[in-house]
Amino acid sequence: MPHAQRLVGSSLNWYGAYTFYFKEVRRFLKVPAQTVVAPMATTLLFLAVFSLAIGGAGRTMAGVPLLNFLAPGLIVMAMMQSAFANASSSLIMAKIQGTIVDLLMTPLGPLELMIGYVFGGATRGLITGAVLLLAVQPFVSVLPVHIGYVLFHAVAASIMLALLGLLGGLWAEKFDHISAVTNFVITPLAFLSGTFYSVDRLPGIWHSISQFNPFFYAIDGFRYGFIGRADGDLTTGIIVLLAIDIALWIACHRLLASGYKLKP
Amino acid sequence: MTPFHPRIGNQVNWYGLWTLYLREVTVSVKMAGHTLLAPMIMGLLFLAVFSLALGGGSRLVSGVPFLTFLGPGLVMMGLVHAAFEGAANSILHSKLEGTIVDVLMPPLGPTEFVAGHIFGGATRGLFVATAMLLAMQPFVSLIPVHPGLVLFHAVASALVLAMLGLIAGLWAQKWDNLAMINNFTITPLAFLSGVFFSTESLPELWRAANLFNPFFYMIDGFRYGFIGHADASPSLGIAMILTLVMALWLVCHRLVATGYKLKP
Repeated sequence: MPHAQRLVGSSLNWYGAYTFYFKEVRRFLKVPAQTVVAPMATTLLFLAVFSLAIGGAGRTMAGVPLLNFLAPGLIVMAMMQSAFANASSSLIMAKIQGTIVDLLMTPLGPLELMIGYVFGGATRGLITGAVLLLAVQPFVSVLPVHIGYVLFHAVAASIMLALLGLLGGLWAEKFDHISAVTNFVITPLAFLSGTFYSVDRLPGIWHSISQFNPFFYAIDGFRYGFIGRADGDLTTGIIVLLAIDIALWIACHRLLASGYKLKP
Repeated sequence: MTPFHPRIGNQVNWYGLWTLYLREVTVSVKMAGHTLLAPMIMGLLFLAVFSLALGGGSRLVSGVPFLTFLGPGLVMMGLVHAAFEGAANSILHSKLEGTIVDVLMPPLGPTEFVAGHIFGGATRGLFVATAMLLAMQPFVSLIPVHPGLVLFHAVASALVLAMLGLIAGLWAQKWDNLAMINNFTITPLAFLSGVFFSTESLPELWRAANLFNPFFYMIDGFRYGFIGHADASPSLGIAMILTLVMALWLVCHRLVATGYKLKP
């Protein structure tokens, strides 16, 4: 056992950050039925429903069979929802149960807390994504053609949503607040940003709005990695995602450092 | 104030039943953001996503435009979830918080207990269905052609799901249990029983299985009230749903009378 060390200056408490990250990961691995199997069931249901409702394998979207178009969108949607749910629920639960003091008392600074919450949430997103990718294979063969794009967008989107989850968890004072954010912000954004359809189908104004929507770039870029075709500009998407991630990271760090809604 | 007097024999304590029912409804009304607004948004999102994914409203299902077909299905899905959750959450919450004694101690027998909770849950389901129907009108005009059938299927389905919710609430010992039932039973049944597609497009075996699926009859019969076309015989559906209502009532009554997971 290493000895506990005082944090000097801004040096990172690696051991503490790692411990906290590990705690965040074990937290969701303890209830795999809810964290991994439930999104799997939902995604497969959506696949079944869309292929039945839209009838016939002959339909295409953006030049590929509908299910091949749909599957990457559903996978990244589930990843984003998982990453958000993990960070936000972990934080709000700690706040409500009072176990947040276990974090505030330890020699973990804002940076270590960020690492644990954000990478813990992102890890859940990525595990969900990997499991879903395997689960949909019997129904539709989706294989990455540009692995780099798949990985970048998976990681960037999971981190973005984990950061949003952290923000949501900090702001919320009860579970209702979190479910309000989930129901009225995250789910609509995930549904309407091109998970189920090509945004080329959107009427004028909505099409323009989607050019400013980071969820759209995350879904579009991730799907590009599988079908080799994107609705938006990939470079713009990468810049937007990186910029959002950095901006959210700074905002969360600021809030944690100032003790916003955490310390009296 | 009605003076308190003891019950004799099997007489129903109407005043107590009314009070319990009112409590259940007040809970739903107090959290309208959750109980009403969230399913409304969900219904509209599904409507938007399906009309965009399908591109153009020219597609016909069962002889009507797809959105007209989908609307009643989505309303029914919202109703089913709301009625189930209304009853299940109320009971589990009381059990976990220990406030269940407030219902067990007063002069309320199993009949009042069951009736109060299931009418409360069913009322929540009917509120949600009404709200969803109104919210959808700007996008797709849904006017009942057989109001009697619409009403019957709405009320009977709400009762069935509220009773299932009551049983689930009695059985569950933590929120995880309820989430499991929701994710792996209610949602798949609602999704796969014809909310989104006509069962005529299903493979033969699945279609035959659906003839034993009460969810299918609820959705099909409710939709028949709007579009005048059913996949299966409405009278068979009505008989099946009524049988289910009575059977579930007996089960619920028995469980509560024996104190299953309620009394030590």
